[in-house]
Amino acid sequence: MTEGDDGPREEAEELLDALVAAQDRLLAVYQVTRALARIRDHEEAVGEILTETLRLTGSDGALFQGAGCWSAGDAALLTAVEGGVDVPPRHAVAESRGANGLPVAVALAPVPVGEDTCLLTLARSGRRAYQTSDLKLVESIAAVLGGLINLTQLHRAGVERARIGREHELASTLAQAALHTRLPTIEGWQVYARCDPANLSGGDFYTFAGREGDLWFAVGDVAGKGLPAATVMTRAVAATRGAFALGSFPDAAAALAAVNAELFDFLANAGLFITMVLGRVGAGTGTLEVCNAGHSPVLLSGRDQALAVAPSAPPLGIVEELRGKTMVLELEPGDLLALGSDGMTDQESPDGPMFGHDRFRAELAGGRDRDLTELGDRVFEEVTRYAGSAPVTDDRTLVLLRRGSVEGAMRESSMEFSADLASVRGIGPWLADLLGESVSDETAALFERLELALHELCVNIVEHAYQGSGGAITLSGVMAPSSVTIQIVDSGQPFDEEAVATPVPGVPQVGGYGLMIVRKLVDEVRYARVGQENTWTIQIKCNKS
Amino acid sequence: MRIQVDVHGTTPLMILEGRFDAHVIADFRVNAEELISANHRTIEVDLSQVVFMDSSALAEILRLTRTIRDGGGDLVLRNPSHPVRVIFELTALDTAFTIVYTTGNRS
Repeated sequence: MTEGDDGPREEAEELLDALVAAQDRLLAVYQVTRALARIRDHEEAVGEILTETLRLTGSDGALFQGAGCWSAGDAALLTAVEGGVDVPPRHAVAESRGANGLPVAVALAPVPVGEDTCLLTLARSGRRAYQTSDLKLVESIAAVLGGLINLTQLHRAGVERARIGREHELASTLAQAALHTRLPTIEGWQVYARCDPANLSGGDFYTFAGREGDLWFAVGDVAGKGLPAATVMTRAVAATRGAFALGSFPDAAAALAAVNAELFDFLANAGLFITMVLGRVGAGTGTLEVCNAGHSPVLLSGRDQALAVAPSAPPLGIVEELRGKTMVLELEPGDLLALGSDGMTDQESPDGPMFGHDRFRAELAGGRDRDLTELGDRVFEEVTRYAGSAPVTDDRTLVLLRRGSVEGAMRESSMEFSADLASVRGIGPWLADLLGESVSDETAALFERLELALHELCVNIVEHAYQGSGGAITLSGVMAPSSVTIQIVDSGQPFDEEAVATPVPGVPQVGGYGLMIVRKLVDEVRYARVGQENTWTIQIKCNKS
Repeated sequence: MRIQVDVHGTTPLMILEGRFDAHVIADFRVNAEELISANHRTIEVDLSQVVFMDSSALAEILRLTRTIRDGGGDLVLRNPSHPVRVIFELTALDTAFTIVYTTGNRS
């Protein structure tokens, strides 16, 4: 063997040693991570890694500081090395002295955790100093520790975000519940109201109140959208309802001034304003008065022409003492006042241009003889169709007030009863009263279909929504010349369509037939959950030829 | 709803009169189960005087039919009134039952 042969062999052995060391480190990291797989708790996981580290590195004590503090092994030894150590930029070795004066070998490794850097300290008693190969292993373990802690922080942040998201959703739902779910009824008028927020909740609102034979109404839009606007919206609804309930105002402008006075400080502080149209109609008359505080679109749609009702006051929150002008409108039977929001007219199409006032006007123009709900819903459908793939830019609101036609007088009636099976039997007499005295075969057939449909829905409410524990059910019906529409409102559990096994016709099954029967009996069945209330709407169209 | 039970014939007959709905199902079931436990294999139910019937009553009739057929007998529905026929037709279950139309009194 010559000297010349030793060089390559030494190199080969070094390489082999390095490979073995690298393999050892891989194995160590594998063992550390495998220890993690058994553990679900973060605290426990760090402890487990440190214990494993003691074994793998032949240390007597391990200490992890920063983002918490964990230790494993010989506590007395660690006390000697703890504290006063600056985090080194790379792994390092040091020597210290233990409490008994004996030397302690120390290995330090920085652990990257997010923006901060934590420190892993290992200690060996006696003179067993840490070697370079040990430090490589320590560095690998530090990397695993850092990964674990980052992961935990990410997870915690995710949980927190989810929690905030749920709270946001709940708050939004509550805000939206501030809107009326039940439409008011007033003699000689038909009322339609709907608000579709762009998000879970929005800044649009409407509200009604009956007082001394008049119906007061307000439709408004808080600047902005989403939860911040909704928060202001609920405040605005409360202020408006408060004014309706407390005040006896000479006219619409006076009522609007009262709402402004109530909200002014709040709005001025928040740097927000509200556009609102407020007014009243008298029962049995064609007179309608409004005061428009910068709201749009407000449209009076008559037989031959439509007239935009221009603003007659500044928006709320602009001036402290609002002096608006009340406009008095005389409506002929069939004329209607439409109170929209800019989310309707300003909705853009995918190509850019907005839906606009002309389209809004045109949608309402042909609707004199149409069912009011159908007419209103159609405007929403048209705006949605127009928007196509373009994003929904703002909340959409539409309130329609139509003077009832003289010839085809409408009948309206409502009834509240307690949710039990005996009381459900009161539906028949109430329905007979709504449909009127007519004894034609057509009315008899209508009665039979509606009674069974209402009965089925109400029994479902008694047994499922209220689960037999009672509550209140309200029926409100409108008999128009071309249709009968009835709303059923309860405050029980929400209806879950998924939970109902739809029967296959002709195949016997016990239960689940109620809704199937209802769908066959009437022309339209709709369900909506708003706030804490369920609303079922059923409609039968009558073809009086 | 009035429920009359006639056990004088070869098969017992329940005569229902009035509204047959969720409210009276419990009553109906008590009467029917009495007849089943008295070892009557087949039971007849007269529905000619039912003025209103709902899906809960329909489900109860279905349940009873199954119980009796499982015991080797049958539930025979006699002369269903218009409201009863309507609900049978809406659910397309008119073929699931044994329905007989008779005139006059039972022999």
